[in-house]
Amino acid sequence: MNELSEWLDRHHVDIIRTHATSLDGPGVGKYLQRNKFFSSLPNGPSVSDIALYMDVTGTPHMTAWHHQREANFGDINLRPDISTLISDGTDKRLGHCICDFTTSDGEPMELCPRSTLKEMVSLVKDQGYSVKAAFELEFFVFKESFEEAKRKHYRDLTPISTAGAAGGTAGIYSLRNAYLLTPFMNEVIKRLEWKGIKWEAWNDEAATSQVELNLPPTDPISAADNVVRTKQILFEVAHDMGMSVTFMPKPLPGYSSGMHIHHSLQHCSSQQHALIKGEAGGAAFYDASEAQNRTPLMLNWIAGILKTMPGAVSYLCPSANSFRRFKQYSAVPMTKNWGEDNKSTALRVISKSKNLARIEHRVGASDTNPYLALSVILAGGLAGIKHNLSPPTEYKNLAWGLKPSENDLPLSLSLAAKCLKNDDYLKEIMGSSRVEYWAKTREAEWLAFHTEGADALSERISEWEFLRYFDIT
Amino acid sequence: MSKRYKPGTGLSAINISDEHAIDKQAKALSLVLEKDPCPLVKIFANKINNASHCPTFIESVRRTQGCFALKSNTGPQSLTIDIKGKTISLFSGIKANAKIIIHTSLDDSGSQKTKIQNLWKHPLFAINIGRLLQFPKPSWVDSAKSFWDKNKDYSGMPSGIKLECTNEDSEYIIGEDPEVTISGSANDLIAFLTGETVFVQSSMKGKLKGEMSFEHVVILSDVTLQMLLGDR
Repeated sequence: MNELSEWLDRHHVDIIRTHATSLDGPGVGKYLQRNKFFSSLPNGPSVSDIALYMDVTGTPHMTAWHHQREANFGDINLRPDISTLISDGTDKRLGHCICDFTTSDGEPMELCPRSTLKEMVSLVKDQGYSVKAAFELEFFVFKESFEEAKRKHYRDLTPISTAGAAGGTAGIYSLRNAYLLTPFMNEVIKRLEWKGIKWEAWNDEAATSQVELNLPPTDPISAADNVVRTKQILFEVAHDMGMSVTFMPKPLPGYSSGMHIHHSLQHCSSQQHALIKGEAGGAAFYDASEAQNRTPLMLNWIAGILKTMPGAVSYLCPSANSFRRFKQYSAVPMTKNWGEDNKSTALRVISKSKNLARIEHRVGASDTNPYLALSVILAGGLAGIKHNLSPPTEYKNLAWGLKPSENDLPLSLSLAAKCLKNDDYLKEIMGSSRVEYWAKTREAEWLAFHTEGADALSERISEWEFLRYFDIT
Repeated sequence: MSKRYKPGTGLSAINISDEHAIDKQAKALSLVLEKDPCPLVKIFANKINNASHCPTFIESVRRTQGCFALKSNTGPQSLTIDIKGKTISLFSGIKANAKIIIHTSLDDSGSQKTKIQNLWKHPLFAINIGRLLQFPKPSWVDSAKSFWDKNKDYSGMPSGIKLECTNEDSEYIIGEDPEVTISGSANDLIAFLTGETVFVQSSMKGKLKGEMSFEHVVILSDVTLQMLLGDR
């Protein structure tokens, strides 16, 4: 407590914003006066359990029940993870703290996304490995404010960079486009750095007015924490500059926004594990003495992720709009396959060097909940280890334009939810009640999409989707 | 005051297959659904399934040979129903071979007037479609019994439900030691108990009143949604 108090004094922080992530992804929390923050510890402030169990519009989940839900919207807690406390930098009085949802008794909640990821990381650790993960964020930026965009019904929004507009050019990595995006991105980077959130690179992406921002690899919890914090910063910068930013995967025809997730396993630093399995901290996916340098562990891991991929799509593509991404030759994988440095496959595997050895999972949409996305990936890998699964043959060609096959990914909320409910591996690793609750929420999302005004048969992105997903960061 | 009712006959099964499945058993009717059917297709498949035991419905199917479509007059939802012999195929959207398109409320709001496109070209077909779409309904008590048979063991289901029919001044208890009371008109109780509506929607619209915990609101909404979609 003294240390915490000193930290707050040193940084002149007297308001703390608690930040948790609801099941559907939006950030939720409370602003707490410093004394209230202290008095709430260790369990943290109380909130109605709707904060966890609501859809992206804030409506409580009405067709899924979990034994930890409160009978009549009772309180649960946002338990601060003090190690995540940072100062805002922009608002000098403000500090930020990431939280886990707990019961009012302080017990972890099974459906808390961050607690789910912690549990998966712990299961990996039990196998003798640690994980490093890195996220790529993709998003669109428009000149209209959020309010103006809504007034225009999200049609004909003004891009910051595009062919013909303000001298921008089409394509990807365009420095002219990047220059047009620089005022916005400079402000984003400034705020990231003030908060101590590391970033690696950003660039103009393939779609009109689209940006990719890369965050560096770190432990899985921090990696996902950094994603939700970065998304909040992007919203705040856009708002403060009178612009809008969206993680809605496909607000425009053409290319869409994904969330590619890189990860690798290292041998645990525990001496016992190191003696048995290899050099402590060393790359567990890489062994120069193995074929293509790929360890048996890496092959098990790939096999497990592929085996569980159809069900995992439910977590990786949580919205109706995220399924609009799945088009041949649109940089989105269509089948569950893998290949060395192959960006058309669902898993892009890098095994050419010890330092780079990793797997890039390329299925996730930009609106996926990063905690749950990484959780389901780790669960798949764990299933591969547990059941000693072998991967299919590496795919060496272009994985688009293929004939229909059993490798095709499920292309709707309903199909993905069905795959998830039938996935015994994911239920075994993640827990049946957790998986089944999620599947029910996706079925509700699917029902809403079809019955509340969206035209599911039309290629045109419906206003229902914009109203539901555009503002969600 | 409670009235006594005779036991209901229950609902019979119908063959529901996807487009690749082969129906080997000779049943009265066969349903063919597209892969990954949309909710509207599933809802109508369930209505047809529930009606399949009824001889008058089977006779209506026999008379209503051909293809027609239903289009929401309040939103973009639509479906096509194609009847060939004893096989009923359901598709999302409006197929080009639909002889008649009925523009109607596809929810229970009844907010817009129904319009029939191509009525003058196929008047008899339109009349038969009208009869076909008047799906037979069991009594509210038979619906209650069937509901309980189907759902009593569902996780979280209340130990018993007291149902009060407001326009018949009668009540009926399913299960034991009712934890939940639900009241509404006979029609609204039937809609809830046969899964024609999701419980929470009826409750929000004020069609059903009830006394229960939020947990039971969710459980009843969950099972009625599954029934609506034919998944239960």
